[in-house]
Amino acid sequence: MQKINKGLARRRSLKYKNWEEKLVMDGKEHPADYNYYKTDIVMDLYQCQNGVCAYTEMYICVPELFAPSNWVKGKHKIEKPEDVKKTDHFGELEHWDPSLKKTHYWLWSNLFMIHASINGLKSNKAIVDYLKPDMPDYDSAKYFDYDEKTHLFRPNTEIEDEKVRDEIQRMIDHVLFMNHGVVRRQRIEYINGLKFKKQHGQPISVDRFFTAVGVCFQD
Amino acid sequence: MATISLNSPTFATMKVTKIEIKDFHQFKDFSIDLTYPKGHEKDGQPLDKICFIGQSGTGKTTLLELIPKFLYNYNLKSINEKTLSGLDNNVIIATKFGTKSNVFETQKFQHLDYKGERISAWARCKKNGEAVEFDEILDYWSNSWLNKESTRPIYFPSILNFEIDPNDDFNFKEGKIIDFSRNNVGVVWKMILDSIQKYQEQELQIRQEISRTVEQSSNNLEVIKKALEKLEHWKNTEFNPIKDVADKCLDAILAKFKLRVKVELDIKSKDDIGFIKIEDFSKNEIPQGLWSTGTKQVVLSALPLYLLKPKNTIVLFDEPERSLYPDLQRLIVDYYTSLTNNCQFFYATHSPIIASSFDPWEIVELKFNAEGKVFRELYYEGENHVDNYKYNPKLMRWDDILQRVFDLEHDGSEDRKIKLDELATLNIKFKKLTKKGEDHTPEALEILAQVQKLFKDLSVWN
Repeated sequence: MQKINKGLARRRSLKYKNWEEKLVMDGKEHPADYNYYKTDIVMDLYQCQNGVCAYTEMYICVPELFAPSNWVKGKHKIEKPEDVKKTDHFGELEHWDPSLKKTHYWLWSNLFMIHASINGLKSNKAIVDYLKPDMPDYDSAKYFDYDEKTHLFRPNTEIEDEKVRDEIQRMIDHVLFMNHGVVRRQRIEYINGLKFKKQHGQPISVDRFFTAVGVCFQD
Repeated sequence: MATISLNSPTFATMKVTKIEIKDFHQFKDFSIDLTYPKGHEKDGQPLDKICFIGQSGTGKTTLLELIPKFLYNYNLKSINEKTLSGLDNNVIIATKFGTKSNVFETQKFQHLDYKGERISAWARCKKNGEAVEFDEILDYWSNSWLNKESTRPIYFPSILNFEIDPNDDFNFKEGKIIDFSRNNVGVVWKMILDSIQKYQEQELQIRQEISRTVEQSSNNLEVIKKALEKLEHWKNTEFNPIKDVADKCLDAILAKFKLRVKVELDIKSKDDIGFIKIEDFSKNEIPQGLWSTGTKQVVLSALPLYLLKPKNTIVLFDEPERSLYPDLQRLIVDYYTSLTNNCQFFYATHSPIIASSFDPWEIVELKFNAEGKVFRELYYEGENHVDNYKYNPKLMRWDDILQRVFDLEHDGSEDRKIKLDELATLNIKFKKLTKKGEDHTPEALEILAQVQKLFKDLSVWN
């Protein structure tokens, strides 16, 4: 689960940003059915997450959809609708803390884009606070190891507290689904494809599974 | 409204191309296109075979049962008086059928007429693309199509009746469909009893002639030789119904069980024939009571297809994998097709091996949405084109099919998952020690020993 930078420097949904910040500043609740900014939020999250699922790092959105050319005065607007459709993604909005849905449905800091199937599996299960991937001190390597032979994520073996390791393992298996069979299989195939290209001297570019690829290609 | 349509073929055919259900039980605004996708050589034509998969309760059997209901006005088990009303005005069947020169289109549906009586109706009737009156299409359907160009559809339920009852008097020439949920499968054997008896009587007659010849001309070897040659010639030229069943239907598949059809019979009357006889490769007859469930399954599902010779019709199989070992499941879809003539097959299955006999566009995976309604999971992205399919079960490994198509989370049992996790941890620990230059320490060597044991336990894990 890669670190996600949702800071101002990366933001493009400026109209939504102003609206949301004012609500927060005024201490007002967010209108739950307010959809005016929904596409802006979704596309801005995608560009912060580089088009992948926040938890599994599966590829879920074509980059053309959140490209800089699709932003006009802080609002998302598809420049060439004939090339890319608003629905060219597999993601769903994930509310990190489900309890905030009622009062702060559109709270930027509580939102991520995740694969729709993963969202269905995860449901409303809570994630431990220290694994929130947009926190300034979050570091994937601090909590997770990746074995490039089995292509499985494991709790960092250097975490001494067994309870914490078990907690992270539970997150991997039952909440974040980082080792779900389909996710793992896609990851293996993707990394094997990159290795094949590398072996044959072809250029490689990475657009998903950044954490696992980083481990497999660190040497 | 449910819609089932048949597409225009280039020859005689009867194949469903679309099923639409507006609102019926777990189906709501449900639609499935059953034609070949773009880029396929049969682009737009009806699929030759369809495989319904999905969690129990998603309605695979219901879909199978709607087809005879709307095409032949025949109620299978789950379509009863209680469920009938749910189909009123909710169901339309659009269909195309006929020969190259007479292609008819219609939409069939069910509703209550002004007297409150439930009737099946036909709408939007067309002949060769031009609108025609309902009477014309009904006339063709009743007088030229059914039982002439097309044989009756056949339904194999999930539980076949394996009992072999010689007194079952089911008449295969009557009825709207051949429904093996109501009729005994073994009774089809009666269809060839007469020809078997005739063959056996002829053989007996020739053998008696030989006996007489031997008796009368015991010293004349030439005469005896000629009599034997006559028997041999007769055997080579006369149609032997049992040998035909063996050669064209059962032996190839029974060989998987090290069995074959017993062709040499010692019978004197029709009653002696009984049901088909099976023997092992040492010619020991296997009594019917000792047939394995798998043997019965193969014999009793293949024999009807061979004997009834379905043509230009629809064949429905609910859970065809029942009792079959995986290597046989792999074969049966093509095997059943080979026994028929231009039929459209519908299968409902839970078997990834059965599913691997299908192209991705032939698979209809049913899933529940958040509201508990059923939808079809599409395997293609963007346009329905052969190049846009993300899975191809024919090219996938079984475990891959289980995970990606049948949505199984892991590639093995929970015990395997735990061992794989252990292996991953050990690999990571060893790598970390290696980075620190400690890969020859007792700790590292102990890890390596554990890794080797896990490799062995997990067999081929990658």
